[in-house]
Amino acid sequence: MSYSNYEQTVIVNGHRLLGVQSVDGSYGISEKPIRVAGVGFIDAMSDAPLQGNFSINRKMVGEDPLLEKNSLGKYLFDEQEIDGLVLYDNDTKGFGFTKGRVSRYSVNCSVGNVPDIQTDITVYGSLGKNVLKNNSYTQNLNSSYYPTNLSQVYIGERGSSSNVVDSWNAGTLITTDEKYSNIPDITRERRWTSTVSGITYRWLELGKDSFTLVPYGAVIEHANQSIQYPDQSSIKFNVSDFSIDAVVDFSYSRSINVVPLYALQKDGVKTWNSGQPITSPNYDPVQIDTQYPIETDISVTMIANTYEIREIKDRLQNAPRSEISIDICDANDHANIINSFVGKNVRLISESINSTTEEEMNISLSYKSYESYHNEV
Amino acid sequence: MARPFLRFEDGKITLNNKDLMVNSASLSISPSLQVERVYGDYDAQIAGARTEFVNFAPTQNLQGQLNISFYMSADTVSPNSVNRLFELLEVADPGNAKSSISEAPINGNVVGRYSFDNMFLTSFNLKLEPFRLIVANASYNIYGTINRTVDKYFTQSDVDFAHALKSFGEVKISNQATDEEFEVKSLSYSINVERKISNKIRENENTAINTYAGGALPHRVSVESITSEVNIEGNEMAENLNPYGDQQTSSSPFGIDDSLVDIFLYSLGGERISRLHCAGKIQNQSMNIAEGSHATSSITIKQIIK
Repeated sequence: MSYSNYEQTVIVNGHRLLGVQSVDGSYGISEKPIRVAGVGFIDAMSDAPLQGNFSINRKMVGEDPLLEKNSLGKYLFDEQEIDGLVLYDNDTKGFGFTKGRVSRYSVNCSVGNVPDIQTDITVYGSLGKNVLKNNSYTQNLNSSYYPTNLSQVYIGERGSSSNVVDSWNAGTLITTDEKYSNIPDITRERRWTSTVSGITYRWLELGKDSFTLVPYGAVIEHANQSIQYPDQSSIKFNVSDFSIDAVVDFSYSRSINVVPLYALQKDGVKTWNSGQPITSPNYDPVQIDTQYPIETDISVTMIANTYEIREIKDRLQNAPRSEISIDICDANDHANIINSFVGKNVRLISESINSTTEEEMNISLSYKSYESYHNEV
Repeated sequence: MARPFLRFEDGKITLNNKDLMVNSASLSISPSLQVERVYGDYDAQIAGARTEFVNFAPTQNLQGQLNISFYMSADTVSPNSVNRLFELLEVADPGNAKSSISEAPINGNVVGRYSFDNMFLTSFNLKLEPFRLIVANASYNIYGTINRTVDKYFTQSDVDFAHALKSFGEVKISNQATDEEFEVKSLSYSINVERKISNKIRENENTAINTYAGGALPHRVSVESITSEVNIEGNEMAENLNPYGDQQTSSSPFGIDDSLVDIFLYSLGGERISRLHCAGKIQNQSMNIAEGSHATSSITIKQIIK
């Protein structure tokens, strides 16, 4: 069976991403061939940590959930791990990852096009099928009696404490594979009238017919995001170096070097004496750190008007810093910022002038800034 | 077509007449020579005698060294099973090497196209690093000469090699369990054997020793001392280190237990291979911070076995 290009959903940190154009997920295992004198090649064995890569290309048609910031105004993805997956086959199959770190985030925009977002993620945790799969079972009640609270709902027969429903969230029932496998097929409504008080108690004993398996049911936490399109009139590019010249395209990218630290498994003589191997080897790093500074590169191309390229010696001697802000707003409401990007204390590192017989003369400027961990520069 | 140079695949390594899976070996042998200079005949031009070089004279036994690097494995049928290795290393159990390092020579050794006898272990070490295959190293001293033999190969498959992924370690500073934040990046374990050679004058003065190339051989190669050492590379140093090499948290430096390191080697298939143990005093510890990397600590613990 094949899966058409309409059937995939990309989830990152519980957000269903908008405007996804392409996704590439891969992993590689570094093997060392074992060669022995007098024998030659014998086997090849893993000799380095497992790492994967996930690359997502999107059109900016809404607020990007990855750009969430902390109270200090820093992007959460600079320091936090993310997880995600590609869902397909009616959301029953998935290719997921855990412990991902954004290694590059870039936005490219030019007149006439919706801005493109490319996100490169390095995966240090799990990657592949069934990752993030939680096999939740959602409510599919086939009963005339709808209980109103947890005490009236049992998975399987009432009386067994292990069968009590885990949660009752506004009609959504969640259970585990183990409990699901032990329950009867048919849902039953039960009643019991107390001979002392005369009160009739009603409850529901859920069978398999009351559940629908949703393999990745709890993964999507934020499914409904509003679609907002920018157009060229709703994108504002402000730089302190010029104001009149018309910007025709720009790019913004953040490159993050991430350093994973791996450690040996800690265990003792008790495990050794048991004769059994360790149950959970250290596949994942014990620490994943961003290696600062984070480099931000901003390039802009403008139609030459009043701006003139400066003399290179002036740039070297003065190395002035500029401020850049990019606001990408909703085409229908220019006051509504969809996403914004800032370049603080950026340095102009290159300038170029392009003149052809086909187009207007344009000037390209490249800026660079560095973000530190503690020390604001 | 002639093949004057030996291929890696044809260079079988055999120690004690037993094949071994070695990924690198270095065999060297050298005589200890002293230059003999004497005064020559009378020279009238200088009214004296000129100094003349006569020959090189051997001052010690012919001595060589073998360094091998090899993969450890779990399979009992494998040439690198732990029993085989410890047998070749003259150690029944490195964790309890006190009574088991032999003074007997290891004979019947072949490296590629050369055979030799009279080999004695001087060191054994290995390093455990995350995700890495475990490669052990051993060094031997050799006395006597080497002989040419034919090159050979053997076949081997489906070996369950020792791997750090399933192996683990335990570190106790002054017998106190380290806290959860104590992480170990690597563990290096080594056994060093100091040996002393004894020569009998009468044995070595007999002209019969020159009738074969090996010349004079030591009468005995005794074990003078055995030490084991573990180096822990991690994130923490031992705090409150006292002059006795212990972590002192009380008002007295006496009665503090040794620091302990256990290394439990497993194969990638989950089979137990060996437990290496070192109980001793902290010899040194250091902390390094450099641009572009995290701070890393190094703690060395040494045990005197003999």
